[in-house]
Amino acid sequence: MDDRVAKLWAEYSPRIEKAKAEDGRDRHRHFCDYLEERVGDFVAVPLTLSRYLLLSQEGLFEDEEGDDARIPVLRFLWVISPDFSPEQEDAARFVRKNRNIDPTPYPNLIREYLDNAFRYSPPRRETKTNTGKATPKEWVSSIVDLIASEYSWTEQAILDLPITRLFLYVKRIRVRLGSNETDFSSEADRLQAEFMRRANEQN
Amino acid sequence: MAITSDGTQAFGIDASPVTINAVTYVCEGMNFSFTGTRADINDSNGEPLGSTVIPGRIEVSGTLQLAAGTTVSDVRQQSMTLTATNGSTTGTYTIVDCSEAQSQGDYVKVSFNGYKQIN
Repeated sequence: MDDRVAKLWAEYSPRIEKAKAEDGRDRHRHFCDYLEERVGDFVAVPLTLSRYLLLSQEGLFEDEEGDDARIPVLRFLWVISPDFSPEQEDAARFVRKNRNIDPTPYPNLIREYLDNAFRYSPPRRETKTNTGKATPKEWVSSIVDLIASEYSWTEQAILDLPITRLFLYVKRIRVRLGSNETDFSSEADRLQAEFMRRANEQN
Repeated sequence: MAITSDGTQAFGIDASPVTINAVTYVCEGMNFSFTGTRADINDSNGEPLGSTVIPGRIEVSGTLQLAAGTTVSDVRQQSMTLTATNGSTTGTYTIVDCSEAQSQGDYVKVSFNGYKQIN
């Protein structure tokens, strides 16, 4: 390793280590039920499989009465609200109560919330299909099957767990069963990629 | 009995830059194994007469984060140069086998096993 790369590594190494330590703390956070999560001004619960399945139903975000941008945002916020119930009346009350919401920042906040929920999803295999495109597959049953067969938890208990936790359990199970699972840590990976880019660009 | 640490021996390196074909990569979670075998000599009654320890190869396993734009993720047979803080693991390694590449977001990683070249 030449001096330039060594110097660059001395700069990046503590930052990478710090990012990994923060990632570890962040993972613990997902197991703590007492911390409040928010999406903008709204309190949210961590995304569970059952709420994810409800959110992925076609037509949920369509506004039958017009083109009001607040309706899809409020429907999303209702599904992830701690007060959520399947009753139509409760949903209508939530929409009425919050109809003065400015929807502008919410698409980004919702994307952030979803990215956060799926941050520990199992790594994608690089093997491509003939067409070069990955085919979207149904994956919920494989998660329920894996966790139920390992831990004997009921289907409802699994569906009611936050997706972040489920993915962390899936990783542990796979490693225990001998799978060569790679660990990803977004901020540390970003720093490592930045270090590699800088180390290689001056060669 | 408590474990006594002396010197700056690094037991497992969390992350370190490595060089393959003059390209710098970051290697994570490296584990080294300093292998060895014992040859025993016994007399005709089976009583031990002596033993010799033969140091074996230094084996390594870890995960490589691939640089952006790297197209080849099959790193078998590549020579990987490591300059670690731990003197005994510094050197050039030959990668024997690797996993298929795994990705999350923009980042691609490959797990591998290898051994330290003798010369």
